[in-house]
Amino acid sequence: MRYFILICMLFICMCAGVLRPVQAAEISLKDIQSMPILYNGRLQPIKSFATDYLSMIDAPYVYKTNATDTVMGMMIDPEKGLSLPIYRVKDQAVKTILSLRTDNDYFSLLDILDGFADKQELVSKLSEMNESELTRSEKHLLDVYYATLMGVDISRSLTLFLPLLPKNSEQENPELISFLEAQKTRAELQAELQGVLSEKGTNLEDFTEDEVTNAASAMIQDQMSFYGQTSRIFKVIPTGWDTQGLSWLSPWGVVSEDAGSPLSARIMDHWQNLVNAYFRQDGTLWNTTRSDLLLSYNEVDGVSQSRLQIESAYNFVPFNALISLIYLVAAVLISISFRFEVVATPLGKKLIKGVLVSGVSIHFVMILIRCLIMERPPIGTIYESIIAVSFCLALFMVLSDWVKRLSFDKGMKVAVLLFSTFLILLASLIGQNGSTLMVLDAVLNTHFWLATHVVVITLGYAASVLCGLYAFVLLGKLAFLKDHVVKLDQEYKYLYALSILALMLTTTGTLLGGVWADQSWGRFWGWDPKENGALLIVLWLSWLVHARITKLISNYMYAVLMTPIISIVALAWFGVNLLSVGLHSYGFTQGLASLLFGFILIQILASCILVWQTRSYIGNET
Amino acid sequence: MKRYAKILEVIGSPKIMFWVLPWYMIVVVWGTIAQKYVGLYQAQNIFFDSFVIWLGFVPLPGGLTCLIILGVSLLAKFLTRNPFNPKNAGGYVSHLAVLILLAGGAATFLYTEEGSLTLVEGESGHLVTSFHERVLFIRTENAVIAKISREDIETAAKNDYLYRSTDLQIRKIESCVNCTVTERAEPREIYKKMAAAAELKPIKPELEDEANFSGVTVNISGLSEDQNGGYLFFELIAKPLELELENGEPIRINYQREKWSLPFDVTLSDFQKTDYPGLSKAKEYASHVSIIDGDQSRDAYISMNNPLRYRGYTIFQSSYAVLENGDEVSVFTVVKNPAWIFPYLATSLLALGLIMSLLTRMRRIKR
Repeated sequence: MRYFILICMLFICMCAGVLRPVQAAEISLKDIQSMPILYNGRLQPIKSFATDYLSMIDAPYVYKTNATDTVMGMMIDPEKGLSLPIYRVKDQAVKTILSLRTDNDYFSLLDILDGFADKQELVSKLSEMNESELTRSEKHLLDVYYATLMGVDISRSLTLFLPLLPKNSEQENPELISFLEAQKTRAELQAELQGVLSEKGTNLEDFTEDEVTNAASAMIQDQMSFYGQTSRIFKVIPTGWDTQGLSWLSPWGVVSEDAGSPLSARIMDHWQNLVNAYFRQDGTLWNTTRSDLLLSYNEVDGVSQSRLQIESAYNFVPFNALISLIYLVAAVLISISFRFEVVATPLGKKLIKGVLVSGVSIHFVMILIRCLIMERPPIGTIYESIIAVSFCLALFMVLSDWVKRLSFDKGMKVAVLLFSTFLILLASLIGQNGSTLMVLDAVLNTHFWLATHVVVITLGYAASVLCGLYAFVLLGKLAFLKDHVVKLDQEYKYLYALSILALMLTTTGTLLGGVWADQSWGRFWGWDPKENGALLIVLWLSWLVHARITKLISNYMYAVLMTPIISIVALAWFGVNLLSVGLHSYGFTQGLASLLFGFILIQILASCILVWQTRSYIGNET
Repeated sequence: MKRYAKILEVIGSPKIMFWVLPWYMIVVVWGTIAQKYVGLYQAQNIFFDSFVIWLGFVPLPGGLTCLIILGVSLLAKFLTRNPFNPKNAGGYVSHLAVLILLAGGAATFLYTEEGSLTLVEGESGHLVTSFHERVLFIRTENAVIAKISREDIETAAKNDYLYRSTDLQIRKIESCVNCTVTERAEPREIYKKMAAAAELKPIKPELEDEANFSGVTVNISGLSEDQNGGYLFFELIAKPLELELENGEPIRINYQREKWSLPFDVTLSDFQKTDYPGLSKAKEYASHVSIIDGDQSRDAYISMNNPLRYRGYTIFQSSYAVLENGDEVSVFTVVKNPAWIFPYLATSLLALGLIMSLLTRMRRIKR
């Protein structure tokens, strides 16, 4: 409990850094990172949107860490934003097609737009093809193209608030106003211009200087309006006449669809004032407007400031890196304790326990925050399932310490910690190119089944992996620790109990999945690859358990045959998704095949080495 | 009696499970990978629901054979096992659950009827279309003369009789599981009606059998001279071919998906698709329907994960479409499975049994 409180305090301190109030006269684009935006089907803070976009284009780390500054900067100063080298093009063939420098991987939006200028025909042709027909370079080219379109959309998002037009042409240095502000006098300006045109014709040489400025201003407004209409991504304006069931539009969307309401007008005005305050570096106006904007958003149904701030904080804390680091530190400390007495003292043991509990607690906090943000049970995507299995492994290990004689030994703890770290890194790899907080397909949109079938099967995967790891560690000890035979009988019993736990969880989880399928699709079992994968784990465990009970295999062979269970879990979890067939299409994953088969190959090699080293036990009847 | 007990003991030997289960796992893996290449329906027929898998000319035990062996062995073991006591209660309950599951699977395999019911908003219907079964349907005004299944048509050789009676004979010329209709390359007088100008061309079957459109060209004889000849039947041609028997009785023939009738009508009052805000991704889709059963009528709401169970039938929200005129169409899967309760019972018992086993095992370790 003490450890948990300490972790919570540490976490609160970290969040406090993110949620600190803005000091007077201090202006930073970060201040608006918790404002809501409708993106990817849900309301989320601007920071999430910015982080997602920069992850998608694989921007350099320095830009990703300042995601709000970078993306809001692109909007508020489009000229500068267009020249930021944030777009990663790693494929040499794509660089050649787009006439980009081949000795560099990062390019600006302008560089890439230039490259695409005469490639429209190629892009249209590729976009009409099936994804399976495209080469890797062609896919990358399309990805870059779509990211570029999104970049253009983003850079135009706030142009209607930017001070680009002269307010009063008679002054020598006229004050600049925005498109939105100019709209108030646009009708007047156009009437005046019509009068001039009918009187003097279209030859600019006959115009006075003021008339030329007015004509230019009207032309710029028309052009801005034309191009701005395509900017739809920055949906920060709720529109509608009551606060419930609102649709959200981008500022240009509100103008082009004429979808204003008193509330949207107020929020548009706040955004205008925010932009004005930024350009004038007026800290007081900035802070006042920010507060007003927050108050206005609070009136809107579905906007929860606390949830938005939690999500901002979640984006701020590099959870995956932090948890991996703690698990690695714990693994190193435990490994050191094999040799050095200092770490094996009661104090050293407490230190290790503290590190372990803190790692598991932060892992738990991460999953809890994701539940709060998404308002659903924690496992709905492949990313979430990896994080959850990793958590369950570490949790099993910590819980086992509580029960005398059920505690994992040091070797097993190191194995569990390293495997958990591996899973977290795998999750980071999968989630690196976009948001990991995704809305679910309609069939998955059920709290009951996510909280039952998915949780139980995840626990089953974790328990099965534990069995495999335990078998590996046991064989490792047999191979390399010659005096280990003393505890052997006890360890075999432990492995057996673990496999019963794994069998119970995977069987119950699989059958619950069948009941869910019966509720959703009208059949309990349909031989879908995902179902077959889960069945395979159940069959393998049942086979081993029964073979052991009936003494058809020895304890040693039981351990040997338990090692492939990790590969079987990997195949059931990821392998079947690679087939891309069946009803579980929401779980399909791409690009993991080589990693998966590499992982399985390593496991087979490790098993073979251990079996070779322990071959003297083959034929042992017990 | 002792002899029977001995036989049961042999059948219930754990060695049977020890050797059969690994082969069954191979069948499961094989059938799963095969889905990538032949689709689920074919893989199911070849591997999971088959008695024999043919590897070239070598017969290997299919999934169904394995399950029957395992089920019979388990039943025998169950009948000969030691009397029930608290120590083995977990194993007892979980094995009973597996037996119930297998029995449920067998009943489902044998007795389940399933298909789809497609309704436009405001429309009523009771005819359920099978997902896979196609039949060459021959009927008179008042009676069904014959239903020849696609499997029988496909296995028949050229010129084999598909149907034969004194006044009507139908022989196969050609057929295809997935076809397209093209202009006939060599017109011949033997071909009548549509077959005179068009012929079936086989194309690569789709992985999802529902997406295939089957067809057959047949030679019909036994009718008047001007009617005898070759005819083409294709799943996408809804209108039946009308002919006349020698006795003057009209007959209709068409190739269609098998249909069966619900004992009540379903009316689609409203279909609702709710998207996630700002996306075209469905968050939920649901249908408001009315069930009209004789004089009685009741309203019901069917959505994803929330089916309607009525008179032994279960109606699921399975898909939707929007027609060109903007009308919304709701697609339901209709299942009649008398054994639907078995998996629910088995799941509960199995979880209970395994928990009991685990607790017994933990207690032993702690001792």
